[in-house]
Amino acid sequence: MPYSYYFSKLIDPNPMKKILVFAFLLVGISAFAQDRKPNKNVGGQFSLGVRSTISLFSDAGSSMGTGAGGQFRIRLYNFMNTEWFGDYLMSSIGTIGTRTDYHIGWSVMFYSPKQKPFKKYHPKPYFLTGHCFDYTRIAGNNPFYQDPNHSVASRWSSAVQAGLGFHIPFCERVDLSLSAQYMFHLGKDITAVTRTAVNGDEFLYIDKEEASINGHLLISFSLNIRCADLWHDHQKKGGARKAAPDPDGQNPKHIEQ
Amino acid sequence: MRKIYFLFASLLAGNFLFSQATPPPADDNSLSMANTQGLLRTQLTLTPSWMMKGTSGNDSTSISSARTNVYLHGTLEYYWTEHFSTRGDIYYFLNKNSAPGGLKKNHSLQVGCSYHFMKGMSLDPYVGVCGGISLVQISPMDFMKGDSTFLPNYQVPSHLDPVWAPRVGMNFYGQHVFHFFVEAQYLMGTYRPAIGPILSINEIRISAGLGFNFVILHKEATVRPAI
Repeated sequence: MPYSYYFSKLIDPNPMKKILVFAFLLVGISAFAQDRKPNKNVGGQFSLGVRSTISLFSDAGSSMGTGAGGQFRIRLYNFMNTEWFGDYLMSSIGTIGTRTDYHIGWSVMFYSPKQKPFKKYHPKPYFLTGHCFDYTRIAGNNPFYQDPNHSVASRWSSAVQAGLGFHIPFCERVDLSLSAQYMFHLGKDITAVTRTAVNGDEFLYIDKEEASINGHLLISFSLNIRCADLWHDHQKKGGARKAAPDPDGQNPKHIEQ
Repeated sequence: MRKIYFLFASLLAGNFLFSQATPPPADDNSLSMANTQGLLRTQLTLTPSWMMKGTSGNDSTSISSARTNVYLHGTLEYYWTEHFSTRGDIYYFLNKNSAPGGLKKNHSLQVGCSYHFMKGMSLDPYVGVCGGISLVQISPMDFMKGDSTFLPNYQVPSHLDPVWAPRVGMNFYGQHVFHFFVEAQYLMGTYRPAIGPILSINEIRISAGLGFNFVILHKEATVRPAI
């Protein structure tokens, strides 16, 4: 059989269909290679963050406390975000005792409904409110006065909080946030009183009382990195992206941080 | 038939265009940093530090004043833009003080961010802030009550204390592989043990040395051949 026979089999006299299939494959590959278009609807943004907290307690004689913690955010709509956090806070009671607080809670953050184009370093204010569970432990640190009933006490409490804050976006993925909120705790009250022993030593006398409401101001600095988009803009059949509404109708590259 | 051959030939030509690789640089040392965006900066160095007195209640105290502590300090920093980066730092305390009540552990883990003042330059001055947590423990000590020893050679359990620190520093990006750096941070925190005195762990930490660069994104813009 001459080689020309095999070539004639190999080269289709009507190759248009194959070329079209090949062309579609190329288009598919190039579509995957394209950078993702800006998501104009910011709902679904998932951010991870770390936070440092300053707590100004107003009960049990404790001074300003400092804390460290972490959080994540899930943004629901352009005007609404949620923040889920955990904090570890410590404060001193004079030089004779320590208050330790563990917070685990969540807040809903409300932004202005008016959408604005994304701008670096422009603060974005918000109002936040939420709920939190708190484990508090107050303990005296004088080794000579360790009474299991009156040198240490702990409690669980439930709290509601509300406050104000703002984000400063440094780029489209990272923002620094500052918020101040007041927490109202409902739980058994712990009182800590400084007492002086006959030899002049000071120690902490701690007692647990009936349930009451007490509160403190919590100031948080957090650094957040947007790392995922849990649900993208609505898509048409075939993967084409539906144009997201632009409220101003002016800015085609509208991205709300 | 001729059209098909032409089409095939043009597709092949296109493939050749794609298959061309960027010519490799003659020498890596001839590349320098042009842009820090997308850069992952790493470093590991020895860091001396000096404890500062801090207030604790009504007293001014320090956990080990008048002693130079030494840490093994590692950093991982990513430049999101030329002006803004986030970083993680780890400090491992090396020269423990075995004297009673001396500092035995003071390891820190910190996360923070930095603002870099200059753009597209070899010199990279910055300021930053970070927060984190320190694992602190003091060496066993006697707790005295009057003239008698109440708790002899008592080892206080190690303790986690929140810390935070402002930071200032400067990087020098001469080559694209490595850089020189110098930075100082003022760490602020309080040691609040279950048993024993509350003490300040404020200290100034100064780090300097050689760091390595890994360009992850925007490679073409970040590294340029030196003329």
